[in-house]
Amino acid sequence: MSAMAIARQLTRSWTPQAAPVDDEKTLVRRGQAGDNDAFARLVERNQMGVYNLALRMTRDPEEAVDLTQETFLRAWRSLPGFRAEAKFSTWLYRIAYNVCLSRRIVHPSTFADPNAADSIPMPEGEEPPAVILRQERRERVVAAMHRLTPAYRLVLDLYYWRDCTYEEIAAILDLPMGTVKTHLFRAKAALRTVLVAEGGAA
Amino acid sequence: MICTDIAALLPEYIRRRLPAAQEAAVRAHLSGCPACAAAYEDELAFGAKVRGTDMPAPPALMAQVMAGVRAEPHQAAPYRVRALDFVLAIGAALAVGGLVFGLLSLWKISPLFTDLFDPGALLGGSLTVRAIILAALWAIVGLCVSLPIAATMHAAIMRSRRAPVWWSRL
Ligand SMILES: [Zn+2]
Repeated sequence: MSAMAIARQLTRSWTPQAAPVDDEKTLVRRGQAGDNDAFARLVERNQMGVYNLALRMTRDPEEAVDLTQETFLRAWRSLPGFRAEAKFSTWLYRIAYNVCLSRRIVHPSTFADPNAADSIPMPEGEEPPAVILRQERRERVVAAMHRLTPAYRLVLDLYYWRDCTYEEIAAILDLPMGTVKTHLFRAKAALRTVLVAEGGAA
Repeated sequence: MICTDIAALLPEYIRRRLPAAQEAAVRAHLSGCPACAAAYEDELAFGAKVRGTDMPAPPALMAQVMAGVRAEPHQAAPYRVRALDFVLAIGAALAVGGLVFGLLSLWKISPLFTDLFDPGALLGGSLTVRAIILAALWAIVGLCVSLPIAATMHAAIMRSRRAPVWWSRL
């Protein structure tokens, strides 16, 4: 037993208040110590988020399962280095994004300076009407997401479906906040354009 | 603020995450601008529309993930608490010092100390036994002093530490 392990044992037995077993930080700490079951709890809580993000990016259920698996496996490997200053889910999305990068589902250059006009081009055609999403059916909005570029899908999914803040998205994509805002704004415009192009509100 | 500025702020306005001054400015603009008010309604409706459209995870996903995880050998946390090493080193030094002290007394090189503090003598042991007892005592004292200090420091460090690099290393 290493000196660290002995000290950790001592620390633990001296800590007076036992944290609730369900607490995310506790689960992370136990996972870091090699506790598979604690990590399983974390997987259970986050699998839907990671899977749906993967589904949005791959647009294929089988590949989404594969991407989700790799994300959690990488998370398990990197868990000892995780410091719980960020939400665990945000950290997972960051890993999922990196898996997307290594599988070339999305390319980091698409997120380069949005002011360099052609990094993510504004959707073609005239300015879409400002008000349209309200009248759309839910299924059509979700389906229209599939028509967007991977980069647009990613920022929209992180903001509207994963409920991440600008700061969290900036951390996940390793981008300045201003760039994140610009991408989100353009992605939203692109979504409207797709809905218009596919024939107005139903 | 002009209308395009307002449009960019609407998502965060709805989430109530804007600074107070900006929030007030948006609210004031919305009350006087039908176009932006409509855009606000639209953004609100969009958020409500996409909520709950996530698919359930496939039932087998969890088992698949955990099978992969269980097949993976666990990697211990990177060793990184230098202050703790330092304290343990002091403990080790005390322990080693005790052994040396005991051995020295075995050769009667430091009779002064053995005369002052020599519990083995009370038991009437031979010089060798007295030296061993003395050495063991010092080693135990070293550990008893250093381990609690090390554990306390470790706990304090774990509470206070800001971790810098984990994020970029993924
Ligand atoms: Zn306006």
